[in-house]
Amino acid sequence: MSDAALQSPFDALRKSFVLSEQPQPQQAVATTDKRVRGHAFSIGTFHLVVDTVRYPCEVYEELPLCRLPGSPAHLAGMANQRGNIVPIFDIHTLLGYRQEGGHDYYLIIGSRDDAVGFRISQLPRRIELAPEERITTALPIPRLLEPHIRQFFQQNEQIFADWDVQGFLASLASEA
Amino acid sequence: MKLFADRTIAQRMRLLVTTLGAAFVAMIVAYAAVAVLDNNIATTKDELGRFRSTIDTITIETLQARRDEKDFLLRRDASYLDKHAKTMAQLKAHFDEAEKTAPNEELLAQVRKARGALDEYQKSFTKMSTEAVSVGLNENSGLHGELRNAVHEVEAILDETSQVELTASMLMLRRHEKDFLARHADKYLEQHAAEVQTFKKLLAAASVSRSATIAELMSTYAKTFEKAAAGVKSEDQQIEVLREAVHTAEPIFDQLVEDTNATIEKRTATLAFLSGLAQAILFIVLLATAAAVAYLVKNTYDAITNPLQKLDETLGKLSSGQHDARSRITTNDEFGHLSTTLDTMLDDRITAQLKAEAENERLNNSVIELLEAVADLSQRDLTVRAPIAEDVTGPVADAINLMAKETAEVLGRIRGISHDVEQAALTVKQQSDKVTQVAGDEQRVVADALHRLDEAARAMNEIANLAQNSTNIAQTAISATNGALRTVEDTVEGMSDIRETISETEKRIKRLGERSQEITGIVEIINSIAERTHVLALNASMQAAVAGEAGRGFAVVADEVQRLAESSRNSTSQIAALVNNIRSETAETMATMNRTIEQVIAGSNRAETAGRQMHETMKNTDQLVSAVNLIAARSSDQARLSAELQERAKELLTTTQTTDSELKEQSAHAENLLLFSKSLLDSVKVFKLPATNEA
Repeated sequence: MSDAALQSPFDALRKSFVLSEQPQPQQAVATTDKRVRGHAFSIGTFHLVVDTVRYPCEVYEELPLCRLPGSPAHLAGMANQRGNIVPIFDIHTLLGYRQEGGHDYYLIIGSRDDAVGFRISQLPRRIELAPEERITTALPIPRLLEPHIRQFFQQNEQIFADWDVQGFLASLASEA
Repeated sequence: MKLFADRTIAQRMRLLVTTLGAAFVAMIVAYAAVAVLDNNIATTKDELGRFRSTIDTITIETLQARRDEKDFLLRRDASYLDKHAKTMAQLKAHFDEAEKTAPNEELLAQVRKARGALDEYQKSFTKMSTEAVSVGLNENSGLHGELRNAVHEVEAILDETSQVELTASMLMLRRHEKDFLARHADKYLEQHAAEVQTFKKLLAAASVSRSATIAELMSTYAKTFEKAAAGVKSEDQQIEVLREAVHTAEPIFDQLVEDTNATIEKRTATLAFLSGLAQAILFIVLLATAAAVAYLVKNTYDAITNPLQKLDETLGKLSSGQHDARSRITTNDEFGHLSTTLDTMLDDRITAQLKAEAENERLNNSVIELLEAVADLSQRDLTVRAPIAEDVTGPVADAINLMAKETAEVLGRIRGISHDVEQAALTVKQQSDKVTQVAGDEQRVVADALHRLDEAARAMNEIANLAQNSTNIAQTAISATNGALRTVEDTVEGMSDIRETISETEKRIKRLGERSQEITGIVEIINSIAERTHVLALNASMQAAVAGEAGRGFAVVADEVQRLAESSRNSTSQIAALVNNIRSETAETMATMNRTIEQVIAGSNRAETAGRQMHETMKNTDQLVSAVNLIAARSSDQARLSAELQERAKELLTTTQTTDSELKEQSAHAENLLLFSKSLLDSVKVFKLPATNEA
């Protein structure tokens, strides 16, 4: 969102939640040694790894949401993040998983106008996955998510999926 | 059979051995004759086999010669002539062998006839092959070669002259030539001769530069063709002769093979018959020998076993008591003599035995009667008398009768005296028994009284001891009850102190529960702070990641803060769990304390009740001690009296025992007297005495 011109409420509600391509950091480590770095949160029986090097992220313990009438169930509502309207999706409902645990956290990916949020059940944790931890076994994952998983890793008997957030959101926007 | 009827066993055995030897010799001779015959048969079969093999080889080689002949005529190759010559040489060698091994004159004549036919065939083949070589085995040899050379020269000149009609006539000549050489027909010769005339006419009519040379060459060609044609015809005639020779020889060979087979079959059948006949003769000899030996063995066996069986039966009957049994064997051999001797001996022995048995019977009867009488006397029956016989046992019986009579009289007198003594001893014994019985009753009464006094004194002493022990126990009980009473009183006081202490502890535990709740609140606050710190550290870590290499240091700090926050959360969780445990255990402790207080109160009440009951017990125990002391004193007095009575009873018992022993001694004497008289009477009673006037 531009500082010069304020958006009208309708424009704000119609805004796209597709992330724009973020410039790579000048000294991105991920491209040099082919390790996957980011933050992972639990969903179902595996973890989704968000490339926090490429996209700025932020976690909220509490975030007031405004539910939109007539919106699908997986759209939890719209949140006000420091003056920016951010759509918040319930990741469990969106992917068809049952939410376990009573606490809700909100992971905001992107910044300013190009931000989108997900309601998750556990706090993300920093993760670094080596190429030798990569596995080729096909795992049963939701159809919506399947085209946007680049690769799987196994670390400490836990499965991590390298998540293409931008592609996922673009696909979600095209279906909306 | 009359031959063996009157012969002894030794003669029969000698005859049997002689027959066996003769049979053995006959079998050896028969076997040797059969073996020699078989050997001759085998040799003859071998010779027949060799002759037949030679004839088969001749037949095969004849076929090989015909094959070589056909190959030569078909391929016109000189190498087949060599093969044919080699085969014929082998055939001659085999004919020599066949003539040597021919089994009879007829077959020898057949072999020689076949050999003559073969010689004729070979001559015909030699002429035919010579003619064929002279005609030419191919286009370049013999008359064929000459013909070809001549025609080539003519054709070369005609090519130079370019005379079409002459060339055509020449081609017609070559056509007729080829037809004749291929088919051997005379019409081609006529056509060829006519064409030669035509060629000559055309040559004369044509204006050719070298007509004279052509005419000369043509004349040479024509003559050469005529010679070749004559050779071909001669060859054909020789082939016909050869075929004729073959047709003549083939039935001879077939007849030779057929006669050979028939002769061999006939000779083989004859040999088989001879072999069977020899074996049959050998079998008959064996059968006759076996029958003769069997007859002799059977005859000898019967001559031995039948008399033996009869003798055995006779001896069996004699041993079973049939003294009139006799063998009665009437043969004229050793067993007949033995039977006659045995029968005579048995007759004599039986007569003597019957006489001795009668004498023994009489003496035995007398002895038995005497022994019966003595046996009755040995049974103490003195009334028995032995019978007096007229033999040697008569005096013995008389002496025994006298001795028995005297003994009976003495024993009668002894029996009377013994009866009197027995009556007197019986009276004394009855009197003595009565006195002994009275003394025994008295002794038992005294002993019983002494025993009862002893038991009474012992019971009194036990009562006194028990009373003393009861007194001691009662004193101990009184002191113990006093101690228990004091203990109960102390217990009641202790219970009161415990109840106060427990009440104070309950209050403190309640305060501890309240403090635990306060701690839980503080822990929740700390946990909330730690969680917020965790979220802040996580956000800082994400921001540092976006900053790339510049934010790496910050990311390390953020991770450390995140770990600290995580540790704080874990610690607070553990503290919360511990506080919860303390609270639950405090609640359980308070419940336990309440139950303890109730139990202390109940225990205090029971202790007070026990104290009161102990006071009552002490009073009752004092009264019991007094009563027991009184019983003990009375029991001691009674024990002393019992001891005095016991001493008196012992003295009385001693006196009674002395009297009893004296009476027993007297009774024993009387009993002995009675026993002696009874014994004497019993000794006499065992004899059966004759009846007297006193009895």
